Amino acid sequence: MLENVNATRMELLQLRKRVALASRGHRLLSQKRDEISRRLVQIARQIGPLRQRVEKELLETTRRFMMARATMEPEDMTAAMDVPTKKFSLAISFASIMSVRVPQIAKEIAGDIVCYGYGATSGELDVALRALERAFDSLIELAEKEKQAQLLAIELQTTRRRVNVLEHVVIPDIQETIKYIYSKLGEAERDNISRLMKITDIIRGT
Amino acid sequence: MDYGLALAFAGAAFATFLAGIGSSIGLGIAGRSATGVLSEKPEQYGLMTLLVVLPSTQGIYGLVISLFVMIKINLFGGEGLAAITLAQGLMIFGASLPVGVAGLFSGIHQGKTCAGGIQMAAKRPEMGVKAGVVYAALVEFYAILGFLVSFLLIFIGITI
Amino acid sequence: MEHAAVIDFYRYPPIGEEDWQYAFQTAKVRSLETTMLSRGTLVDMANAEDFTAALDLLGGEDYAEMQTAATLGDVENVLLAKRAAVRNLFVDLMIDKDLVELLRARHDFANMRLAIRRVVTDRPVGLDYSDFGSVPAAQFEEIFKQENYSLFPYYLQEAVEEGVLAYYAEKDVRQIDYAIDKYYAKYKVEKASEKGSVFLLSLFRTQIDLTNIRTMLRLKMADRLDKDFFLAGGYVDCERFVHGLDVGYEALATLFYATPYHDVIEGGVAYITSEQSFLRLERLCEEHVMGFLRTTRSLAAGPQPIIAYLIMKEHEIRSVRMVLTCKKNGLDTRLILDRLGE
Repeated sequence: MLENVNATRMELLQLRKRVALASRGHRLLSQKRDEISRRLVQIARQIGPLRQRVEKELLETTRRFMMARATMEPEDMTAAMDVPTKKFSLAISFASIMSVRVPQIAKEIAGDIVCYGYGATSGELDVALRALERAFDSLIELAEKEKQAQLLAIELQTTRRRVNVLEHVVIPDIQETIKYIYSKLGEAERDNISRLMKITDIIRGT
Repeated sequence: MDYGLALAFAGAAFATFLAGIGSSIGLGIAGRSATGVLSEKPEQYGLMTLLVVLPSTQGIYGLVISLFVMIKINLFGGEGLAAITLAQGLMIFGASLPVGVAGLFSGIHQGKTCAGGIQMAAKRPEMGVKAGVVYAALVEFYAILGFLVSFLLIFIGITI
Repeated sequence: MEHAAVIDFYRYPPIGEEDWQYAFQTAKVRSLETTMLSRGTLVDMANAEDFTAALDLLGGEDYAEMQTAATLGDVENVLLAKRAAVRNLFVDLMIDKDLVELLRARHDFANMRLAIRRVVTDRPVGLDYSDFGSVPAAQFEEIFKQENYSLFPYYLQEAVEEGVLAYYAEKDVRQIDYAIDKYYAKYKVEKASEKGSVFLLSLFRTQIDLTNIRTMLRLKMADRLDKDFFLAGGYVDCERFVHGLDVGYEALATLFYATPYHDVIEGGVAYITSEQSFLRLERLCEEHVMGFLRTTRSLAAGPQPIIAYLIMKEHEIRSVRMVLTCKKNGLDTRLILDRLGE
């Protein structure tokens, strides 16, 4: 960079402007970085217990479901589960956190999850399905939060990289160039002065 | 030929015939049960056979009484049939009935008892003789009583 | 014929007379009963360290083929083959084929439930039906395609009608199940009394009662207060179950004090309130039926022991499946024992 620099006063002024801009950007970006990490920590804190709860609920559901399945005749199980009555639809909208587009999931659930008669089925199946129904709410919330966290984490990474580039590459580079130009200009000045003094001596001597 | 002899013949016939029915029904029931068990557990053949043959005795008692009646009326003797009055004929007929009727009912019930014993023996072979055979033998006791009464009546009660 | 809800027995209903036509069959079944798994074996399996250990315990018994089973799929195949063998043996042994048809009807009605559900929701009827009913599984698709319901036996024709009507009344597939369950309950009680089979009538009425008990407690747990889910024809009349929906859990045992199901309700309800689970209730219901079936041991011949063997063996197969599935998936031994009984 230093080789092809025009060591002119014009350039110096421009570079000074750029360095001011860069440090302002740096300040802004690092503020954004701090905010995103704050949000991220907040979400992550919610995800932990939520995830544990969902995992526990799903485990419980699976356990009961397995028990129900094992104690019923396989044909009865097929017949009971074949045509579900539960209708489930998800709508995704986007919200903005620190100008990051994060999804928000709205669910629409209709119908009863118990979609069979009581004659040939196990009561354990009711319990399993109802537990699953409850687990769904947490599951969707978890999915939403995890996606948000993921997107924010990506954003955080790029912001941090930008901050680092500004802080460690762009600003020092420009400052070095400024120093260089400054010294170049100073040298040219001294050059000029000594030349002028020489000329003065020549004029005085004759 | 008079009615006395005819009644004696009928007595001889009834003794074998009723007791025989009892035995064969009993054997049939016990036999079917035994084959049921043997189809799964052929190694129990000995015990099963013992339990199956128990109801066959009634028929034999009946046969023995019939033979006694035949002897009484001198069927096998050289000088032709004995002359039997109507009263004697009735006595012979009556004397034949205990073994016949006792054999008929005890045979059927012994068969059922044996079937029960056979099913129990399928589950607990060690009880087969102790319970299965003994209980069936208790039913046998009343067939023997019938036989005894018929026997005494014919030999001691009736003189020709 | 209406059956009054009068309980004129102490614990188990009457089982009827002996029938000496069945001497051979009964004896055969008695010998087969000796090869059934003992309760001890099942409990040992439940207590076994893992799946393989449980399988080893089973291998010595009637389930030798199980030794090579490595996955649950293999286990399932062996069990299905066993179940098919038992059902076929049953059909062979029964002399009175009407009773066979009556017991097979369960599978017909189950198939029918599935088929109607598929038809009304415009799904393909498919071929995956139980092949143990009187109507072969392969025929369902054909009959529904041609809409020629006269190929079904009369009771299924009526059931189709009831099921479809119930669906269109509320556009709810569950109504099909309710309607068919009700029709099936009515059919089996009527048919059993028509055949004069005291045993089957007792069995069916007991089953209806137990289904009603389960339904009542399930409705209670789901907080549904619909009153017409109960099946008529049992020994306990429907009003008592409806009443049971209104009272609290603690009052149920008293409500059913005068019925043979007092123990079932007491034990089942205690477990439901403490564990929120139906495991013990279902176990007690099954044990009640098994206890009833065991009373046929007093008969030396008759169709009763053969029917009892079929049902007990099916139950055993389900128990084996349950224990092995739970072992394979590492479920708590305590849960298995809660379901299996100590």
